[in-house]
Amino acid sequence: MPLAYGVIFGPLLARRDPLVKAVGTLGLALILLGLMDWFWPPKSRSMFLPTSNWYYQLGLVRVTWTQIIGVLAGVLVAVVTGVFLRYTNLGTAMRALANDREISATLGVPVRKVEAMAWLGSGLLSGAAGLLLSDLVALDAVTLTFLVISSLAAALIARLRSLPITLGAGLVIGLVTALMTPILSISVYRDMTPFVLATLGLLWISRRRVVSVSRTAG
Amino acid sequence: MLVIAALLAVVLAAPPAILSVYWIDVFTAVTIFALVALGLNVLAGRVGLVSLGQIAILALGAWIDARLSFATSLPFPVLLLVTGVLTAVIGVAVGLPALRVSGLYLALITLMLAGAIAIVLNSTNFPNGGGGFLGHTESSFGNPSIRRPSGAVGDVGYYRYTLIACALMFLLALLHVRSKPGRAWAAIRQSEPAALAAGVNITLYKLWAFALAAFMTGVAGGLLAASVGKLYTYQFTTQSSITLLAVVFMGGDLQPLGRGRGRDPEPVAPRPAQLLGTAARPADDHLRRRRPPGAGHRSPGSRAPVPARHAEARAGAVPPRPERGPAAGSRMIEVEDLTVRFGGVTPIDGMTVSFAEGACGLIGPNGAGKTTFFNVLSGFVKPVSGSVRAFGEDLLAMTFVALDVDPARKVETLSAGERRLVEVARAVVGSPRVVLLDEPAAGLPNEETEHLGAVIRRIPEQFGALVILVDHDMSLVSSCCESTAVLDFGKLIAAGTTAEVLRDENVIRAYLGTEEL
Repeated sequence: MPLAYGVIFGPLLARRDPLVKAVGTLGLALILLGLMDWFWPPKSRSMFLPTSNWYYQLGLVRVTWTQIIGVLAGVLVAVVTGVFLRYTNLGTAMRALANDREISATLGVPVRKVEAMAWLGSGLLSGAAGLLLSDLVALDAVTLTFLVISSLAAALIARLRSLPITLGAGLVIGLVTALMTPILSISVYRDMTPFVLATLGLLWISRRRVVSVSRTAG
Repeated sequence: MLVIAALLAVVLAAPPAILSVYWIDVFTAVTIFALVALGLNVLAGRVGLVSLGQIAILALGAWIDARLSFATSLPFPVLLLVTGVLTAVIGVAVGLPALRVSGLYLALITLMLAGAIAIVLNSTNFPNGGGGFLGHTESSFGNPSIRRPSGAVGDVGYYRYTLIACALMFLLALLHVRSKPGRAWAAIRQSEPAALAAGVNITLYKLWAFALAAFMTGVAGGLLAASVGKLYTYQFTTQSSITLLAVVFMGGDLQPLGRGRGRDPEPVAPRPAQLLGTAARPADDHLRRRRPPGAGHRSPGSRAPVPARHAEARAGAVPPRPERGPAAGSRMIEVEDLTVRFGGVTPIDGMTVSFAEGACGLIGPNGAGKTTFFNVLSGFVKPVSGSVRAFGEDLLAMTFVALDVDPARKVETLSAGERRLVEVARAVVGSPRVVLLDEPAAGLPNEETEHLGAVIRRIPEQFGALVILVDHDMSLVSSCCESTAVLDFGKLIAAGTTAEVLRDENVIRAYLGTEEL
């Protein structure tokens, strides 16, 4: 599905600014949510991966193989993606495309094929993440869809540029969220952690930007 | 406006007469959400600040209204007003960090805000008549409903009340859009640096937009709370914020009524009215409307600009010019052989007149051309011939740059060369002391570069301003600049007359390198 979306709408959105592209994909999300709601009406569902049956006991905490696979997969994906983008022809073409689509096309990069591959790759990774999350969180379309907002927090802290920082920020956010769980007075608000940290992170990153104030009377 | 008023009257009267209560409730909800969309229209459409957190602001407005409704006995209109104001304060609080981010990052931060508020509301729930600050009781029996206005308790009456409140908010939006804040927002949306250079207080007007949008959304929250009677968190989902944005985009983000772009084009010409500090007749408000926000007028002998609002208060007053340039001491408007033609008529035909310092009258029967003359002075009407000089300076900056285009055209329809001339005109219309031009000739063909050079050469003479020109076109630099300084890797390697500098070996080496054999 992401491949089809990328092939059809990718070229149309290519020349638009990032905000318009983001809103375009949000529209896709709404359509998919509507379709899923239609085919699978709201109902309590669960999915249980076999790896959740195997676990390690670390003190008072039970760590399942699903969780271990999730963490390892995250690290592996970040490393492999970094290597792929840096050392392969397709990865270099993707970086060139992100830098400047027009110049990349002028240099002979097959922009539509590269874009399609990017959509396919992100779709595969998202699908795999959804599979793991459905066991860890819930098998619910709305919950899983808007879980991306929390993960966006890590990407935003990395300014959508650095994979290692994204991974690190994600781990920190997850750690802080988990550490808030036993503190009863604030545990109900622990799910706000990604939003608060992302906002603070963005403001910190933008701290040197001059706030535009005119010196003439307004 | 008459059409809108008639439409409003029809919508007020017709649905209750022909629709069932269910559809009346639907129309009420549509009206309320139209108000929320209006708030987002102001932010995204006018200022270019896309927020994905409006539903969260709506929830906050509903929360405030519910709490005040149970805790006080304020009349419903006052309740709405207080709710709107308190929500506007929250909007400003949201807007403060937004001053540092924009575009995609702002949209994502506001989306996260929506998520965070949803989490808080899930924990605190909405007020339902309970005690304490949160006003929520876990008991679900016997809880009172959020009250409606006394004269509109029924569904039909409340539908009409909501519609009238919505119409008033639309009027408020239109008033803003067509006045100083609206012009400031348009300038900010087009280019923040340019707006800042023109004297627009970016911080003030951005926060104003956030406050107005939040006020309208807060009022909508109050109307929604009274409409449904009881509030639940599932009524305010994050995906609703995304749907709302889609609605605003589909409706045409620049027009409150969703008519799409092009109905209210920003004129190409800078505002020569700024030079004059003129005020308009009440019936013909072009001059007052078109004054750039934040524009100041220098009082004699003072470095501090007089705020524009004070200049407006001195209706028709022409502030004296600062003591500089060849026009020093001139205090007159000189019109020579001015002719204006449009629509097959000649409202001004070969007019030659001078206006001395002080208060001068201009009278004549209806249709004599008085208003047209004012429109020429303000730059909104271009004469076919003749000249107008104020205090010795050519009044129309567009005339100064010799750009022959319809002032009503949008900038993006001009060629690159024409746009550069507009940019130069915009830079000089405020009579600055220093004009900084950063590669103004980049990408221009030779002919346009020569014309631009001629314009730049006249700036010091015409406006008494220092011009610092950065460019790689040596012919432009040598034709415009008496003196030149050269930087290379952050160091000054030459300074002096342009001719000497261009012959300097260090300069030649910096540009051409050294030949290795």
